[in-house]
Amino acid sequence: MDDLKKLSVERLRELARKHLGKGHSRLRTRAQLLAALTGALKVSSAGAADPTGAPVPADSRVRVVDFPPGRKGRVRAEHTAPKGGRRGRTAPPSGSGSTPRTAAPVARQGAGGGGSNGSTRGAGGNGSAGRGDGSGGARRPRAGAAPSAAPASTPGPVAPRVEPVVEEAFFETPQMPRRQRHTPVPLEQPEPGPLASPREVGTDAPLLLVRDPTTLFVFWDFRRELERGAALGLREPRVLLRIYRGADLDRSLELPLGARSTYVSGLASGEEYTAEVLLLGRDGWTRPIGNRSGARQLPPGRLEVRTLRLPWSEPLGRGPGASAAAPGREPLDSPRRLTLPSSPGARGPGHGPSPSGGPRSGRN
Amino acid sequence: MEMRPPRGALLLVLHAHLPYVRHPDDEDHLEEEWLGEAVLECYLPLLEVLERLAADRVPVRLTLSVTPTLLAMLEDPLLVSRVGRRLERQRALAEREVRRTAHDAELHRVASFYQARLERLAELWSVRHRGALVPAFAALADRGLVELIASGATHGFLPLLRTSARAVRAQVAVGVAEHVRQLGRRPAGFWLPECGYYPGLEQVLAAEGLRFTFLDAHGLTDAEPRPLLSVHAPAFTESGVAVYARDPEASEQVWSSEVGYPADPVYRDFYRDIGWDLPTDALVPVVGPGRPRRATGFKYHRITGRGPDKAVWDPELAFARAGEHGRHFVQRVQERTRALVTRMDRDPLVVAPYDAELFGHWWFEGPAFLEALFREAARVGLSVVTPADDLQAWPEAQVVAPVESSWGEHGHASMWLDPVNDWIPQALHGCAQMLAPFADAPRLDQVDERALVQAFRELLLAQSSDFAFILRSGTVTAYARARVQAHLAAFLELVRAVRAGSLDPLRLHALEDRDPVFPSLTLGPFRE
Repeated sequence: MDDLKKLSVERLRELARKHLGKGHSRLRTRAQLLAALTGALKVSSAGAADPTGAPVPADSRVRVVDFPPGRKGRVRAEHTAPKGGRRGRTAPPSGSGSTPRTAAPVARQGAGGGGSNGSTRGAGGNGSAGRGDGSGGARRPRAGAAPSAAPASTPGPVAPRVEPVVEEAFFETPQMPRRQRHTPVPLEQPEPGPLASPREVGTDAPLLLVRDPTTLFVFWDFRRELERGAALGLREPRVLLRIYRGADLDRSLELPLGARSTYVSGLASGEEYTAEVLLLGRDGWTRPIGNRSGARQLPPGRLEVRTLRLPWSEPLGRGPGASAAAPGREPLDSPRRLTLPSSPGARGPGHGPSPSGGPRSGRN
Repeated sequence: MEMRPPRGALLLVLHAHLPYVRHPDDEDHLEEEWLGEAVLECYLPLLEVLERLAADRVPVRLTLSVTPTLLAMLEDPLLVSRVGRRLERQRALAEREVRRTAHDAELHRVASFYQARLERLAELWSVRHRGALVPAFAALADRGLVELIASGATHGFLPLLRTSARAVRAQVAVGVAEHVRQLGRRPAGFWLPECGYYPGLEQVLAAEGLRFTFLDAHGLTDAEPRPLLSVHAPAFTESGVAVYARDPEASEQVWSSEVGYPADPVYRDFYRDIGWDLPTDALVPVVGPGRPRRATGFKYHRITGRGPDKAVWDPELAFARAGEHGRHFVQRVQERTRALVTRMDRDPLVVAPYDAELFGHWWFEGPAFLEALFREAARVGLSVVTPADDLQAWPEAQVVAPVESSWGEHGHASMWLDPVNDWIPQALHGCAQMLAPFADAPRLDQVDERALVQAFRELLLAQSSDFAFILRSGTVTAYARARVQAHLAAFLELVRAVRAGSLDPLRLHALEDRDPVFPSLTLGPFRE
């Protein structure tokens, strides 16, 4: 339990929300959180019980391993569930005993026979899992409903708060963010997908298109055998898109498994980028799909020529606003806006199309 | 070779384009009317202006790109007959309007103007050109008034097709081939659809023997190394293709809805139309019974100012103002090039490219502006040149590497690559991948080859930048989406049928009949 002291208040609150259920929000200070969590977790670790109260075999615990080799401190569950338990790749149907990865421990208690398997699956949940798919969130019971959800026959002194494998839950979300999500995953597509789409062909690498000097559009539609090969053995894979600036990794983006494209913005104009698509398993394993893309250079951003007129008599520190700004110097001829005898703001040809809709309207 | 002293010059480019729209089964298809509108409001008036200038011995050198889809529609007997029918309906409407407005002198004057104008257009269409505008453009080129240049086969936005080199090559090669077939001459230049350029594209142009193209200003000014003469001279790319850059001021003067000439309050308001103002019954002769309202082209009001209250349009005043603006434009070009001529060892250019449909459709008085521009340029001695004239006179230019750019919103691809339309380039890439192995096959069954050529045709049609543009601008989005989907679906149907050996000849014939564009198309331009 000393490990609790190493956690941030935010992480402690997260654990409290998970393990203490209703009322955890009344815990204000770090000390209160530590005290409450220590008490709760002692109970569960002493019992090391599965949701039905049966002891969990010692070898189903989680242990810390280096993953990938050379990277310290990453955690992976050792799957040593009893025989017959599923090493769930995908969430089984509701009521089968296994729970979606976002399910709280109390839900597993009411789930019946698949308890040990459920505990294994629970290990893989992380803080963002609730956003991963709608089904997980839909099945998650409220913490306050836990006591009534527990079977009447459940043994154990504090059954509703029993966590099958405490360490597993403790380690399930590393304190350090594993991958920053620079680009939020869009919640909804603004347009329906195309009805007619070539599915027979696939690419070997992602493809990059330039949208503007700081934004790339990356899309891919890998050959199915490439996708299947990359997914083999990965649990609950998500798509990981890596963007390289030259030879250096610029950023990694996690995307839902079905993602086929994304916009990557905030890139450096004028620079050359490549992209690589990988599958990221729940336990952190990654496997590339196909090859890295060809390089795509972003166009340069617009250069601005700035000048400042600063009379010698003016003291520094008053800011440029104190003096008159010189007109911008531009190379050779300066194309500048011309005042014409026109109606300001009147709708002209660049304004928009007619209701009948001309195709060549509103350009430029 | 001794060079003459530099002098300022104007390089005026009009880009005439409409997407391919043909609906044989619908007599009154709304989107098909785009062609009729453009013919009556833009192309016929432009031809009229150019011929009048030629008759008055005013020197004219205009660079004009006419896209293959527009050429195809202008030669399509069905569509040509429908343009003629539209003209007759307009004339009938003019007659009704003259009667309807008899009690109001101001409105009646406008209605009478429309009637007289339509009579003149009918004479031009039926008697002078006999419904054949493509030979009319070719004749202008023969007489040296116009330099015709090619464009993409279906106006595909090339920077977004670049994931398939074949697709880009095909747009350029089919565009050039159709130009040759329909206009009877090889083009020296190429209009990049939407001015969409990416580094390396010039090699595709060079492979087709094209000598010059046009970029938006930043495509050249941000080039590496920076062009010494900014947008006022062409630069050569490593491949030898010259690039001209759009002049920002000249663009704004004509394009801007805030400060441009067309925003002048005396000009005709584009949006106020009797199609929206009159009772539905009164519109039946024009729009057909049970059809939704639509613009008729009969607009009685001028821009006036902000807000819905509009004064009645005065044609005399408006055309006089267009003349003033044409002269003002020339004066500004002269002022600017005069300042540059002492600092340059070649002709300083003002490159002014516009959509041809701006003049007459969006800016009704636009053709009068063009006429005044040419007359004033001749009067004051401003040279109006084409790129071929310029490159022959000044064959030396700086070598640069232009940057990816377009003349769309924000100068890049965001208009055609957006969450509302980014499914299109993805699907197009997949289709290009599907077609590639068939195109490279050494031998194909004759019917299969016909089917694959039709699939290629469908792919080209789906690549049109117009549909992605419409989806982004939010105008007739249902139509644009349906069109892309229909072409993609037809493509997939044909390729899958060839692959499965289940091709239905009747179905193939129906698809060929639906969009009979590019009749000489082969798989050649798509081959590796």
